[in-house]
Amino acid sequence: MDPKEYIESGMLESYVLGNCTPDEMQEAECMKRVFPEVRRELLSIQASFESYVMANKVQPPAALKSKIFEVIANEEKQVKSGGAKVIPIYESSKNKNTGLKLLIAAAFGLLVISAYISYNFSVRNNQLNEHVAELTSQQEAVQKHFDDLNNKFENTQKQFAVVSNPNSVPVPMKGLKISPSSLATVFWNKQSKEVYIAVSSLPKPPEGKQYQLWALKDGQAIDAGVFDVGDSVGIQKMKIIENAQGFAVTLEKKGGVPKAEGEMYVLGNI
Amino acid sequence: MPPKNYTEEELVSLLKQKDQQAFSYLYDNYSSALYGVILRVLKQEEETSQDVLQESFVKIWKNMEHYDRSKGTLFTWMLNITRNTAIDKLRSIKRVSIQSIDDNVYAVDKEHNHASTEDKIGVKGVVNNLKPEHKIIIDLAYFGGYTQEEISEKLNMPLGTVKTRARAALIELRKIIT
Repeated sequence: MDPKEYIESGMLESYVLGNCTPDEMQEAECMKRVFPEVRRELLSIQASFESYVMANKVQPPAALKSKIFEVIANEEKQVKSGGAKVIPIYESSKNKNTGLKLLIAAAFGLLVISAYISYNFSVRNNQLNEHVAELTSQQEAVQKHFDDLNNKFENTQKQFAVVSNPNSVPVPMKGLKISPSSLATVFWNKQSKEVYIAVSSLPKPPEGKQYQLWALKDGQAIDAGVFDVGDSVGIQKMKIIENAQGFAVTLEKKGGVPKAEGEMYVLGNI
Repeated sequence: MPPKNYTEEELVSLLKQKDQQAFSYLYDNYSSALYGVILRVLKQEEETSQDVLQESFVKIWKNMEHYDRSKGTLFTWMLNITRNTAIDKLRSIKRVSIQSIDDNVYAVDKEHNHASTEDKIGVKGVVNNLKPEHKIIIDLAYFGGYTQEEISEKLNMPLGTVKTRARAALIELRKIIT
């Protein structure tokens, strides 16, 4: 997702106001990690919200502080002493017979209790296992979402680097008679001689066919490689071209041909 | 004891070591801000609000080791704990008595009259100048714990508008404060 669009969507504000869904929350955390500008915006919203809260202070009663500190001190003591005292459950009795009966009763009692506990444990264990599986699959989904975003982000960065390079010459290629609405742009770097193609619109090639880019120079067409079309391909790197006066795209058999044979779809001069 | 000034970094590190004095400093500096939030969530119900403040501070104390500075400020972290504790309390109360939106709006209005003890003029005066359509979004979302869908239903407003209003509200807030 485009970070600017995301910032303007109001989602970060809902995040700060604590009323977005768990999915939206994960998304906000993801966006914050991936895009520094989203992180900055979020921190700035949080800061203004903090000031808002600070401006609406109400002093709690003075006695509350010592009460709270007492509770905390007690909690600490419990943590340190670590659990309950051990109380002996059986003391030797004067009457040995009663002692034995008591012992048997206690043993039977313990058996019932332990069966009950182990049953409970097994139920709980199954629940936990299910929960772990669910969390793992959730975590994988989040990871995938994050990887996708990261990929898109890296692609965008790469494209931006190509497009914004000062040595890069954009050569728009307009559609010819066979497909007038087609459009593709070559970015040719005068210095490194690298060639990139960004397809805005070309018809999907039929089975067994592929588009091929040609550099035009002194009436000759030099092979600059084949490329794919589709939503997910983005900007594609082509062969190095030393010099060119223009570029053109033809439809050729899959894998390309040494000399252009097929019909020309788009053409542009430098 | 003379007031001590910690940097946030020092304060966090001392708190993680469960330093009582640092915690006392934390209480002195933030309890009134947090109490203000709780009172608004719980519609100025003082006794319950004090219980919630206590519960929140105990949670803050216990969970200090989980606080991660890279994720946000200490104050925002404490606010989240406190607000969530207050909203949980509000929901447990609501389960008993369901309120209508009119009651909520009325409660919100009542707050205006229940002036806080501090910053009578200052920022607070200005903050209450928030446009009513912005203020109600903040009140329902943050202090009322309503989801976007619920707000959209209650205010009879498309979901998209709820989101853009939330953004506009916080932008207005930012302008007033800076």
